[in-house]
Amino acid sequence: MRIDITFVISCAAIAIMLYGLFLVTSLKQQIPGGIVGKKWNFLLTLVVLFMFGYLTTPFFGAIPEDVLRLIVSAIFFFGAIYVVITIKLIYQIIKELSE
Amino acid sequence: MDPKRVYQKTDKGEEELRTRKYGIPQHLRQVLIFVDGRSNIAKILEKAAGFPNVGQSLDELTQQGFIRLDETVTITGIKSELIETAKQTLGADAEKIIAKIKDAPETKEGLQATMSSCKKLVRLVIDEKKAEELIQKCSEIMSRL
Repeated sequence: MRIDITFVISCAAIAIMLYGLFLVTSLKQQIPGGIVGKKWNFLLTLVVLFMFGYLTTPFFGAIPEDVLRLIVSAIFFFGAIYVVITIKLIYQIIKELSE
Repeated sequence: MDPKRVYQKTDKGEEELRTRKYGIPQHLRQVLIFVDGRSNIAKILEKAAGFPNVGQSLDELTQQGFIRLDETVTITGIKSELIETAKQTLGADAEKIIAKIKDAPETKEGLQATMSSCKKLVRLVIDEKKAEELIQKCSEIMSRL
């Protein structure tokens, strides 16, 4: 494993994602249900999935190219879902608060 | 009969206790004594546990004009009822709602605004069905203001 700028960025990404995982699980205890609670479980699942995806990044050099492409495209795919759910959630919160 | 409401004696009731002018039966007289203007119906029923048909006696005394329901409702009393309702409806998740009700302004409008905000909070982070149930029960309590 070569320690270069890519490796450092990957480690930083993993650390930030770990912090995100900590935040999403901590907040879960304060959101037992409701509009946000329902979506939160799905967001938590996606964050866990991202965590596994990010953990593979330091080993990208050792992974066969076709598997690597699959991992990256899967992260992009679920990332897009995550963005859509987050935006829809924010929209619902704004709608709820402005009623 | 709402057990949280309070009865108070009318002038006629006070007169009856002093003079026995109207000659009401002993069981009604006993219940009339329990009505002190402070104890709510639940408390009266508790005090008069050994007497039969206390609820019916209260109704008779009301119909005959010896007692009447106290119509003065305080914000503090309403807040207590709202807190109790929140506890019953939301259980362990009621903590934030209780804090909001406690901090609500001591005005009808302030309390209404707080309850509207509580409904939104419950819908967002606790349970949508419970939000509707809570607001329905609270509206009934608030309607007495």
